[in-house]
Amino acid sequence: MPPLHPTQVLPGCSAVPALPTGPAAQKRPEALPPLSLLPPDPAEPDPRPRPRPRRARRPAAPTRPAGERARPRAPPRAPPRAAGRRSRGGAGPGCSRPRGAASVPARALRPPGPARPPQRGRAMSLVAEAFMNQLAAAEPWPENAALYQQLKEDQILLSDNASSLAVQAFLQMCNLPVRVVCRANAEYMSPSGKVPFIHVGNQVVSELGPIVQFVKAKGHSLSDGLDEVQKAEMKAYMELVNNMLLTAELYLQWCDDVTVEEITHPRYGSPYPWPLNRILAYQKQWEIRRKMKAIGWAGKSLEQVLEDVDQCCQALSQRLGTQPYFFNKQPTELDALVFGHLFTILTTQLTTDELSEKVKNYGNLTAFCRRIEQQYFEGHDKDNSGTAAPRSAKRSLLR
Amino acid sequence: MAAPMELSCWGGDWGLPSLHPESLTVMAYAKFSGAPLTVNTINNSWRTPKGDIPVLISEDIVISQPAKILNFLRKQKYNADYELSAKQGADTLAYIALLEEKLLPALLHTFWVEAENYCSVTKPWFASRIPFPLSLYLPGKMSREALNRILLTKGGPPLYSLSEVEAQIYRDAKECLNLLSKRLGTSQFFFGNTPTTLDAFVFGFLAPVYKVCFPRVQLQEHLKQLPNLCRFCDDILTCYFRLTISGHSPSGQDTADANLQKLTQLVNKESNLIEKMDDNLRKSPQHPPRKLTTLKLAAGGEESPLNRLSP
Repeated sequence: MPPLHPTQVLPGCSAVPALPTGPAAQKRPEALPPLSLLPPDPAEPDPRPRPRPRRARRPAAPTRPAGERARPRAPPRAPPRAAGRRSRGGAGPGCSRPRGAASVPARALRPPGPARPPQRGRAMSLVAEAFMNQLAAAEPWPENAALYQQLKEDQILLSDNASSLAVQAFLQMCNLPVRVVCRANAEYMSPSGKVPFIHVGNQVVSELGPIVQFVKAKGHSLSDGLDEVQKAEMKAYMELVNNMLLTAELYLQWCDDVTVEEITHPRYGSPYPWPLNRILAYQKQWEIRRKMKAIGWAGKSLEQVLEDVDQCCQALSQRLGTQPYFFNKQPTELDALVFGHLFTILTTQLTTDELSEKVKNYGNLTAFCRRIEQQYFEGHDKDNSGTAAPRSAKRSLLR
Repeated sequence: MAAPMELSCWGGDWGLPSLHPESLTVMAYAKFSGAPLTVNTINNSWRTPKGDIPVLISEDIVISQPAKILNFLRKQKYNADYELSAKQGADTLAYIALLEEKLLPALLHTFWVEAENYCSVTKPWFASRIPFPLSLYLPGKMSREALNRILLTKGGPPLYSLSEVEAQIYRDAKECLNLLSKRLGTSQFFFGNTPTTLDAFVFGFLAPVYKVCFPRVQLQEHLKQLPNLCRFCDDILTCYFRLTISGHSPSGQDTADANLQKLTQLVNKESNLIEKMDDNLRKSPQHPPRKLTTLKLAAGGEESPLNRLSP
């Protein structure tokens, strides 16, 4: 079990709950709290008004040395905040309370454990976080690990479901138990703003890549048996899936007007009242379309995108050949990723069947999905009713 | 035979046929497949097409984007992947995706976002090849697009500041270089002894990192520690962009003797022609000597397709 180097921080980990600063933060307007749903926080209003009069008074008494005044006053300010944080943590990780800022859910998810470093310096807390990771690496996988995603029946979208299923498959392959929790605000709870994320012990990690690293730090790895060239190949194919399938899913659900109107907007905003549902959906749509423009996909037609999907499936099909898994007998994270995407595409009812037809053309890929579903998901469904991958072949995810 | 094909792309410097990764990819593929492209490097004139570079013009068909140009060339029977198996074709696609996801952001950053590099190298270089009023505007636009792409694809929580995003993309890029180096191993090209599409892409992405002299060179430093990738770039530069006249191109490894004879004749004829062209070009003052190579190649590619066409 290789301990993490102190300076090495898992990128997707809820590393530092630092307040958003800089241009990147301003770019994410959806970090704003869905105000209408924010319940009154009893702890918060308390400490806020107090500092103000103090600050106002300070210039009035300039003769006193600042240090003398500041010191006795600093401690009383701290406890109410900590209490506020603690009460949030105690409310449980999945409390359906939308966050106040991008960083809050990450913090809220943490149980009131050992002192979190204050956000004084980023570097400081990064180092602290690295140590936390190192400590976490020594801990075994807990029984109560949870995976968060959006509401399965009427909110989650194609791409998020695919990513979530990929992580579930990966954890199943590692034989690590995880409870799937559906939350309407999962996207806002995630440290990276993307689902799924897992909550293990006092760590929150989001997205497949960081989760694979995190699990590896705990001593579970699927790709240890591969040689260097195979590892390179595995990474390359994983990028292919992200580059083509994921982007195509995003394109379809946010750039294809029919799908946007009939499926994406109603589903994405479903937990929220009007007009918030529309606002959030348009915000997300705007963000994704900007991304598509930046990578040159904005000018593509739906046919071209489907052609790309076909090309990608063809490549995957040829790589898989007649083997049970991509690297013969043992599953790897690539298998989990491919399964997550293809199974979701196959079992999701969209406005047209064009996308799933593309995948169905490749018999070995559909057989591959069925095999993984049988091996890793059937039977587990009874234990935790929340696990995805239901047995029904045709499932309405998006309607 | 096929209609004449003209490729407009950014020119070269620092011993490269082109500074622009995508232009370089197409040029390398054309060399590998033996497609007779006439290469027009973009210089200070209004005649050259604006918009997406590189652009391939064949009669009235205009194609931009490297992937589409390569597809077009394949349809014209200039196929460098002829001998690849289906699985190798799939690998090609996967590694290209890897390059685009992991290496491209850092490459864009080195060229267009890193302030020191941009101000002292990229901006003056590109501005000098764009006619006057546009030269004030286009480099800035390209830089903004690059930054935009990096931030939109790689930015976002938990990476809030640009410096964190930078650290992440360079980490990714170095990992990508290591993976490529391991994949290449000791073989000459990625799939044995003949260069293919994947080699063209890898070359297009690596050669600018390898050759261009920037003030800030963290990617280059890393690449120089991977001797097999450096050797790979040098090999392609010497074999395909300098010495094509002498007929050494490994793409011409044909077994049929008749073809070989035909080839030698053609090569002889060709080299005479090229010598003549060289003389003409040397006399014209406005071309620095390195541009000769590009033009030579354009002419040199003229006859080589024949040997690919008769498998």
